[in-house]
Amino acid sequence: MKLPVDGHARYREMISTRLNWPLDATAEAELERHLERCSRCRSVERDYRAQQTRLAALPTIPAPRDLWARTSAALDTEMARSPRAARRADRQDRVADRGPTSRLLALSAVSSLTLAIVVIATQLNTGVTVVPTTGPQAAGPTPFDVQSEPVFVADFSADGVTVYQTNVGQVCPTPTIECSAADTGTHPVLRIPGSGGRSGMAVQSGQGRMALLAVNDIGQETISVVTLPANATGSGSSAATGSSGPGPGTTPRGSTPTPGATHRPTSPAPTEVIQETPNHPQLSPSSTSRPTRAPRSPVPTPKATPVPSGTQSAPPGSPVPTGSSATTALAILDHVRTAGAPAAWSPDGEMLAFSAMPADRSTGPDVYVWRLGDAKAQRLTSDHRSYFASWAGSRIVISRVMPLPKGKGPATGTFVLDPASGESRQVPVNRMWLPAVDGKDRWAVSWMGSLAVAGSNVTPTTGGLYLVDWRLVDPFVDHKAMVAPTATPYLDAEGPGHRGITPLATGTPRSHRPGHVKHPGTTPSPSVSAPAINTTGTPSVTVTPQAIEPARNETTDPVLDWQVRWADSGGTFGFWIADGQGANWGRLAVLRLLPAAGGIDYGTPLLDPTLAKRSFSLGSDRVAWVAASDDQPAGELRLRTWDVHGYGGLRIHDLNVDGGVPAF
Amino acid sequence: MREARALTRDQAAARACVEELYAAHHAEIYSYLSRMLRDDELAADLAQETFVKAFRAYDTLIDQDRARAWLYQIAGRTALDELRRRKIVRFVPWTGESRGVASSAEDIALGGRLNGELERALATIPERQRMALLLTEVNELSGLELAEAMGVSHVAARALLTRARESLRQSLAVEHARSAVRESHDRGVREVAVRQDTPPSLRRWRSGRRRDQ
Repeated sequence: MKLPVDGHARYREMISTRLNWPLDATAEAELERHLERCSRCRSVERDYRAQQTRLAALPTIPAPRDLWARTSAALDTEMARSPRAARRADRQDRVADRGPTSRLLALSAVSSLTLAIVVIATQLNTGVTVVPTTGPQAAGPTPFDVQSEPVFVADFSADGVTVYQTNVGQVCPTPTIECSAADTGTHPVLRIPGSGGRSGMAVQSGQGRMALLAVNDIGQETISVVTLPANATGSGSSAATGSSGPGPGTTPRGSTPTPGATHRPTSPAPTEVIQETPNHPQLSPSSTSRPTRAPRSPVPTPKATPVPSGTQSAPPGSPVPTGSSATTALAILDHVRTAGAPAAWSPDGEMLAFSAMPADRSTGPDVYVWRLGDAKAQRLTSDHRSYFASWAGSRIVISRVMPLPKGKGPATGTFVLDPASGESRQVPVNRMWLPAVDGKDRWAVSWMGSLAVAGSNVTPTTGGLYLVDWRLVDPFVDHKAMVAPTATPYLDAEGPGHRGITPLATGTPRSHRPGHVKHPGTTPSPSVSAPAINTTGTPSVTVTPQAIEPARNETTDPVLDWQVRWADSGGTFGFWIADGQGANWGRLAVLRLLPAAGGIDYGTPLLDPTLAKRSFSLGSDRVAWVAASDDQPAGELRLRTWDVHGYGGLRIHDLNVDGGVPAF
Repeated sequence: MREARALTRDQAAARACVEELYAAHHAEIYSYLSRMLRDDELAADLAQETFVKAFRAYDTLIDQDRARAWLYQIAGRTALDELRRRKIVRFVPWTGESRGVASSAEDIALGGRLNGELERALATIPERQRMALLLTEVNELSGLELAEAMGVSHVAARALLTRARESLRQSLAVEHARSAVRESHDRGVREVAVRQDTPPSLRRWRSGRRRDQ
């Protein structure tokens, strides 16, 4: 046999190749024969193997935290390089393609996996107990108990939707979230085969029901309603609280969960996970270790009910509980594209409202309502220009594009529609867009600013979020009976930089053009101005909305893509503003209102602006969101709680929120 | 106008896709660039550039399943361009820690010592060989992905990988020898220091001899 200059070179290549890929049988045999008699090559193989092990052990070097902000800005710049006309067209396309809310529900074109998180506000009236921790974690933050509530995560994949439940009963004191829970007993509670889409979308919950919005490859959406298993919210959550005591449930940051202790479902793992553990015990394969860890909980709390066998401790391979995989989703509307604010349940949890247009966009959006017991969602409007904004009690708030006589251009208006009677009344205010009214019909957070209207499509151009006294503008409230406001908070402040609300009937406000109005982005002054008088001579509603971000310059840095959510109990709202239009990442903050005056309590923000993915979920005492993290770069589920004991935080590690855009 | 609309609709889609790619892969891409360039700040710049280039070149991504290799290819080219442009060859001790890492001192000392040799050895091998090794062993690309990311055939990629392993093997041996020399030098320095600082009696005691006996 004729050998090259270095006769061993090809054996080295075989050795090297064999480390990663199998050799064919002949080559394998030849190499083995050679290795038997060549000590030099044996030594090479040893070295290569050692090298491989050492290389594989090299840690990932964490990216700087501002990498996304930098990249996003660079992408914005890159996009802005296109011609102006193209940009305008792009804006219109965005609206036409996805509608203002679909921005809220950014589609995932690459990933086959989208998640949605939901905090179910419950049910359990147990008080909060502080559990002092001793032992190994004494040096780290001391976890304390909060009311146990499940967080649901809906995981959309091509072959179905899986709803996971993770239970949070303990958190660590913040300001910074230092606790990470590698094991919160996350387990799938619902598996709906065949209802998935290429990407998933909004999920909502109300009274044990969830609305799922699946998007297929070509952007067509199907809205379905499912009922959560009865055991998903009740005993399951308290059981998990008990079992996830301070020891196993919460570990200080830095104590990296061992691979064995953290079983994250990875894409497209939901199905696999279900197959591996066909019942709904937690994903963390730590049930065997739980008993040994449980005694580390120093104070058994009243909520620490025993883990029901068959749920938490059932071994993998147990039979599927009925309802876990057999549930089918009730498709209440399909072949549509949603628009406006995300679908929302009525306060009593019996109705679901949303707006949608035909998938082919042959007409603009209409508002739909699904009532408990109905097979399909009913269309409430027929003007094809109605965008669902929020519920106001049992009524529905709608923002509309209204055609005005020729030459005047279109305008936008907000209406309140009573689904029972069909009666619709206009909010005597323009320039409000998609106001989110709280559960008490008391306050609303509305986007206000300039809208570019093209047909039935609406695109924000400049503007921001404002707190509005909803009682003063609610058309179903008898305003004459109300005492005319004389104090400063509710004065109409007209003029540059002021966000005075002008009754729509008066037409265009001074210096403003309907449909496309430019404002300097200054803070509305709380001082001044006489109540505005409209053209009919009757006193108009005079309100000064309060800028939620007073420091924002709405001209240079307008809010174009946002989400607002109120806690069911009212008084607390969270708002998310995209880093760039259509971006998946943005800033989330949670604020509460001052109980008496109704102003915003900036002194004690419940959550300071933090980097978060598009969707978040707000309960009365907690907020869940997906944040960037070094360990889970695609995002990890985080929780912030607040109660009499102060702030608590938790990073939930046994739930993989990888690769998708979570939506609420 | 219609053309422009089509273009920008594509643009919006490309942006969305690049964001998804970012979410899924930025950590590994950054880590890869960091090891290629041995400069955290530069790695961040190039990671950003990688995703901007991905956005620009989005049309060239035909198969979504190959997006990861495609991204690595862009990152690799960006890194090579930069290395060639700046002729960055820095043999500074670099332990792999970067901004934003809250490693404990102990971690740094342990991991740094263990990995330092390997990182230094990696830095001395030719760039493309380093790429091949990092992609395969650290970033765990498959054979096909490796070939695609390196822009060569599967056979060529395997050959490159073998050469890289051999280079690293030799480089590691050199680094190991250097460490040994350094350590013995350090020991020597310590020994000298001891001799100078220690009182004569104690020095004798340390050496095991007691002259007065």
